Amino acid sequence: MQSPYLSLEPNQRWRDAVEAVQCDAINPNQPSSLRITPDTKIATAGSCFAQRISEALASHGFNYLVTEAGPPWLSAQQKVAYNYGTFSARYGNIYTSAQLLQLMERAMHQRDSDEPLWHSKLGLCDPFRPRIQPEGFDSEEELLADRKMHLAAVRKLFEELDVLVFTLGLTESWRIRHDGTVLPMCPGSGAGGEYDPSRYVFHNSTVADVVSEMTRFLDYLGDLNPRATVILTVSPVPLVATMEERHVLQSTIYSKSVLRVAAEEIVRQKNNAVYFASYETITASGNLYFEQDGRSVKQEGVAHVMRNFFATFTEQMPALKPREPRESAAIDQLSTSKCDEEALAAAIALAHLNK
Amino acid sequence: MSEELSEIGRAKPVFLIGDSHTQIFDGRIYQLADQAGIIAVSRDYIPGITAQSVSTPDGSVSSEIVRALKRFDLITESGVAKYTLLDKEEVLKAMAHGGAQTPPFCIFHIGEINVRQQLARSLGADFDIVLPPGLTPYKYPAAAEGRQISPFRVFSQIIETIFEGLFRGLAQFKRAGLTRLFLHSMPVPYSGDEVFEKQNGFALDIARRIKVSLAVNAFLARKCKEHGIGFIDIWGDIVDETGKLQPKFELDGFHLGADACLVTVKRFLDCVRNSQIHVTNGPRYGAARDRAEAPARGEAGPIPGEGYAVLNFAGLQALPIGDLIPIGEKRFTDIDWAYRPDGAETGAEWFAPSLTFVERLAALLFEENALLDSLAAMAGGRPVFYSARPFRPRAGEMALDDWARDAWPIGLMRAIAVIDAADGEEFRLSVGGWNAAEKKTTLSCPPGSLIVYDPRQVRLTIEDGSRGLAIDMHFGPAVPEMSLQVVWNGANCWPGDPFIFSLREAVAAPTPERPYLALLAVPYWEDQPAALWHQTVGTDAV
Repeated sequence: MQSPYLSLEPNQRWRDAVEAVQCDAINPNQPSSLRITPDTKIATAGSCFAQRISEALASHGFNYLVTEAGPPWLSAQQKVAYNYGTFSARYGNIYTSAQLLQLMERAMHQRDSDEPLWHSKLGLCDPFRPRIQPEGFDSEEELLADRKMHLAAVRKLFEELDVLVFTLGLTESWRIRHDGTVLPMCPGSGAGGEYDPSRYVFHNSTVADVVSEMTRFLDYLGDLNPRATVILTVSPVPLVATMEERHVLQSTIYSKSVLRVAAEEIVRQKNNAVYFASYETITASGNLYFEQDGRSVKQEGVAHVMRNFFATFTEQMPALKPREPRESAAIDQLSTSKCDEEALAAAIALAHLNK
Repeated sequence: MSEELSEIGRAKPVFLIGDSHTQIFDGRIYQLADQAGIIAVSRDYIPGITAQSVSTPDGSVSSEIVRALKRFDLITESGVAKYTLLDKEEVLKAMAHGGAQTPPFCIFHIGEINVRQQLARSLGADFDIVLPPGLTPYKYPAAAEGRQISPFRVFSQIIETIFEGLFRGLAQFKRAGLTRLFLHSMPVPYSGDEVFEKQNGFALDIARRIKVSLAVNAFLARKCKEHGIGFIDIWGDIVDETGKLQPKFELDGFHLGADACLVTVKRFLDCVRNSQIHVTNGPRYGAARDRAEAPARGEAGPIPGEGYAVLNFAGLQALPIGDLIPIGEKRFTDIDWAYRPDGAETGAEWFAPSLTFVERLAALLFEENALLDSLAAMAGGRPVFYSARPFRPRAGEMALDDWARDAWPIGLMRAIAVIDAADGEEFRLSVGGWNAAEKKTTLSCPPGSLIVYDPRQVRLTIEDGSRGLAIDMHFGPAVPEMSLQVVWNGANCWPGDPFIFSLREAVAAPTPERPYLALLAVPYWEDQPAALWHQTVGTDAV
């Protein structure tokens, strides 16, 4: 019986799918049965990286669904400053699966919190989106009225969207001790609020946490909007800091690993979720797509991710672009170390050549 | 001639320029209480005028407004306020026809079209605003379900953009010499929603129309203060306890009626009488206040000798009430400081005696008595002599606080120098708190006394029977990097007119040679060195 590895598709083999492909042409995604057409209503949510996806979707003429667009007379600059259109509604960054689930529950009037409004130097802040307005709100009345309208816009969003692109960003979060309410930022970290260890507690999610929260979210969404599909991705952006007593790199790897594994489990379990490999696309290039700080993703990186996105979910699949011979040779020279994984890869390659 | 005819006097003109809301004022004349004077409103209706059209970014002023100002004979062909001219012919003409001999009172009623057709329309069906606390005492309906909230700060930015041309234009009029400008508040909307939609071609409920108007009025009030423009806000006078317009002020479903005009004139008079002298130097006070309050924010406070400390004489007992500082034996006994024009001669000699007075006053107080040194020791920083108002009090006449009693800024010292008292008597001042009923004590001040006080804490009035000559002075904060505009509050010429004349500009920072340098005026027009900002023409001297 022939080894099953010998019948692998080219994209399953490192040499063909990665080594032989120019960095900016690697697409780690399988063609998806989910098709996005110009009529598909796409929404976005997630971490900072999701913002870049929002921008790209909007700029490529897709039907980027925004249910909280802001007054039409706002200038482009004001829209950016007040976070209109940054995401599909003005929820700001949603770093964790717990936050996304909580947003759904709040929008559906199934969850409330006793967290008081935050005060910052700039004004009154909504603890659930503390940086949504550059100068805060002018009054409690304005904030609460805006929050009410915002949650209505979120509800409408979930009811109307066809596709939600959600970028899982972090596993670390801060929660209110007594009821588990998740906050997007630690209080007292520059966006208002006051840190009180008796009230707030640090939490680092496990795979089980993320799977459970996302599953519940997907169930909610499915009930509310049966045609909706969630495209899950993992943000490639490393942690700025960790609350765990260890190196931030360790925490970054932990976080991304948990999120990636959880995403895998989720899409295996749920019919209304698919995975899109943006983390892999960015990190496959080493540091090529990162700015000097090692965190910020360059525009070229985002463009690559979006090319893959369109290739995966739309009809315009770009052709693979072979690497330049000189580059390929250089990489061959570097690949001299031997390990079990690499041995397996070499065997696969040899078998493929002998076919 | 079969009818008896008598003149009831010459009315003080008030000029009103603006949109259709000016029309109701046409031909209205108002009698001040106790026969103190007559006010006649002259109006010029400019159909369709908007805030943007008052002035364009390149500095072009609305030709319609220029036409109106010329029609009122307020400006020359070259756009200069006529009353500022020392030209004999112009002055005689002005005196003959009762035209402005002091800065004319000009009220603008502009912006309502912007409120209705731009701002209200911008909310459309989907948006609402939430007014910040303190902007109105009335509780208007909350935002309706389903409407997004436009952040009030963003909405305010739109208001600012729309009204930029109006304030740019008003500033230009001030530079031309029309210094006494007033802006009328936006009227209270009251038409029914269906009527509004029919008239304007779009729907907007009354609650949101009211909120937009209130937001604009709040903005206008703030900008007027910044620009030294009186803001005539009649909103609170014409609405009921729920914030709706009282029916008696309605006219045609849109404009306000004659009863509202009366309220406007009353508020205008309040505005004139409460003219705030520090407006001229508003930015300086802003800077001084910021410095004075800096320590409370954990920042560096005033630099001794440069900035200005927060003064609170009454609270700190820095100068216990009753203490008088002797300023010497020199008296002003021979000054005819309030010059009354006499005869046909006109020109610089009209105000020359007043300037002479200022110079002698400065020499007396600052050079011979080192007044600034004394004040600097008390205040913790060197102040700048800001203004002086000589007065000869007579029983029952003007109290020191008849005008400018509100909003005394941090860092302002006020002082009264008693120069002379009639028949060797003592000059008596009543010292009270801001509650008029609260009287602390009476000061008996012999000639040569100086009383320094914090006008935010203490109120001084002249007791009945006191007679003599005194000088009411203000010492402002020293803000060396900002120029000082000197306002000499002289004799009043008409109720509530504290600005008999002022010197356009002066050097802010005193020097060792001239510690009162602020008094030395820099001519406003280089080619007319003798010209003053205001003139003392045809006034009733105290």
